[in-house]
Amino acid sequence: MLIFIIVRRLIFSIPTIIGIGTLAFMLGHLTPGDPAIAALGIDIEGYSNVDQAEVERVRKELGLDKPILVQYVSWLGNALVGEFGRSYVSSVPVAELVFEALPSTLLLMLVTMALAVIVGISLGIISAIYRGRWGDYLARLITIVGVSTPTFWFAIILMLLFAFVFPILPITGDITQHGLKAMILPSFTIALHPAALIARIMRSSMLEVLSQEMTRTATAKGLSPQRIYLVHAFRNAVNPVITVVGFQFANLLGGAVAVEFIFSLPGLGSLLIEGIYEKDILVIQGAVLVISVAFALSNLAVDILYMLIDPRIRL
Amino acid sequence: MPDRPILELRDLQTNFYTRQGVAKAVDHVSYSVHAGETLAVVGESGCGKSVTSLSVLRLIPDPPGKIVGGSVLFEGEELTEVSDQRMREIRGNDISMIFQEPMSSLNPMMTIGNQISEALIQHFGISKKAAFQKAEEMLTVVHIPDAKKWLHGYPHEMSGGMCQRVMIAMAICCNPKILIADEPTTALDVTIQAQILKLMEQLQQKLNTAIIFITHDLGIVAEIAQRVVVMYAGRKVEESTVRQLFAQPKHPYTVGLMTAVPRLENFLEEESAPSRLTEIPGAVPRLYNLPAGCAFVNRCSFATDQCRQEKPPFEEKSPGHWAACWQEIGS
Repeated sequence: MLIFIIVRRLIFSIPTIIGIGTLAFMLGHLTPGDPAIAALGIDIEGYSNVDQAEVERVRKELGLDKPILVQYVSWLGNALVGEFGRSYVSSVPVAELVFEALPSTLLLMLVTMALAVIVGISLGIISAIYRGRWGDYLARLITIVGVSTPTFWFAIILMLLFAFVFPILPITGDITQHGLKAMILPSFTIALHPAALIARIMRSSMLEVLSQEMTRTATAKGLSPQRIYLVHAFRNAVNPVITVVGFQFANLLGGAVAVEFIFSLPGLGSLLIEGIYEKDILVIQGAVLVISVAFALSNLAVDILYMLIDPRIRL
Repeated sequence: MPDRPILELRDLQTNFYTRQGVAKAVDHVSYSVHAGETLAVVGESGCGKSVTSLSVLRLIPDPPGKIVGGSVLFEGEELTEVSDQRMREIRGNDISMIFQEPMSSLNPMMTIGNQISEALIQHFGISKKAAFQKAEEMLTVVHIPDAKKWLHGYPHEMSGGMCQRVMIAMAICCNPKILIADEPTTALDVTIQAQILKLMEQLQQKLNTAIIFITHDLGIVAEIAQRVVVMYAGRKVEESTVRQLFAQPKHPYTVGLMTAVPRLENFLEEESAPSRLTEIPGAVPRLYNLPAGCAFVNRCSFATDQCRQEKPPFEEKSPGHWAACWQEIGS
């Protein structure tokens, strides 16, 4: 039963998530610098003038004086029930900060992924169908440019272009200011690379399926090319693309961190980078944990998608 | 034969353009088949028998393959010139095909029911429900037990023999006038082979279908066909009725094929040392580099200088029995 398998996979992903939590915790504590000093609002230059007694007081207050293992257990216990502590800097609960930033990032990811999948798959199919003709060459040129363009550079070029040449799209700001328009440039920036990758994989996978005997059978039945390409070949060719989409989620999240910052889009990425600047350990840990769990869940979704598409994997 | 053939190939030529050169996979091949008749096309791997039949339905991958000459007449219609649209109407409907590898010829992602019914929906424009009903009927016709259940099954859940039955059900569901079977039993067990052959015979009697049966197994030829075409290196080398061919083969290649079939008598006769199976020495020559004369010359024990220099004409050696050979074999 499909439901049974999904539940089992969900249970299996619990250890993964606990592992991710441990890594997120260690990451916060392994970064150099003293969070207690950061919490006092003192930067590195002022370090020598710090009142040691004051630092000790803050350290005790934040529980940073306890052994690392004790801190870990209490943090993990709280994190599992969605309690990440309070930001050292603003004293706002981290959970609140994270869940405020989450929808914007999720929306950005969703729009980006949809864009990358639609553009990538279409380009890949066109390329495969018109193999060796100008449609294929054009599609391949686009994908090569897409794969080799650095994201940060593309972001800056887009900003320049839409700030000075075609001032029709907002180059900074969030949805509350501009609506979905605010997502267009950031999602284009992040989608470029995965779209090109998906196109390349789709092309080669499609070409392989088209050379198989089952395609000949479908043709011999008298089916239309549309049905052969989009129903028969596509379903057989799409599995490698799903794998890539799953892996791309990690890259996309990474890309979102930088791109949100460049386009001043409030989201998990911006929150994380601010947390790193402020040495706000709990914010970093909370953001990293939520991003990682999202990644683990997207992998699960990919596995389930496999089972839905390919009847041979339902075991 | 009294009436006009339902399918007629005249001087068909299909070339493959490869890096090594042009391979003439089908080189001036002509044959015809009548309604209700079974024609066997025989030859080793790579002799062009499959490419010939794929050319009939224009299923040659282009590039690298291309039909460059000759004609394919189906009920008087020139198939090498009809539009793609018309070709699609003929495929699976008037002329359908069964392939060698049943497992890889079916779509693994689609239910059996969908795969059979899509041809019905395409050609007859009937509803999905009606098509499924017909598909269930067809599965029963090809002796698949629990037909209703298997409509929702997938190819990977079936055995090779069952897959081939599904292929047959798919091929005959639109009552084709011609069925091209490209080594349909090669990948199957001997016992399953016999069942599949019997099934095809029954269907032929019921629907008066013409069958073109492509095989390298002369045992099968004797069992099911009325006439035989022997192909070698893209050319037709011998054509006759099955009876004449087995009684008196006129081409050394056919003789070679026959002596390469194991016979139980040969092993029983000589008690101490059973006779060894003979083989045809060498292999089919590369198609883009054929000898100037007869293509079989390098493997033939009767070869003369004339064979090396001139192509033998395809001529009638005795009434109803043609062969392309300079020598008088078996007369």
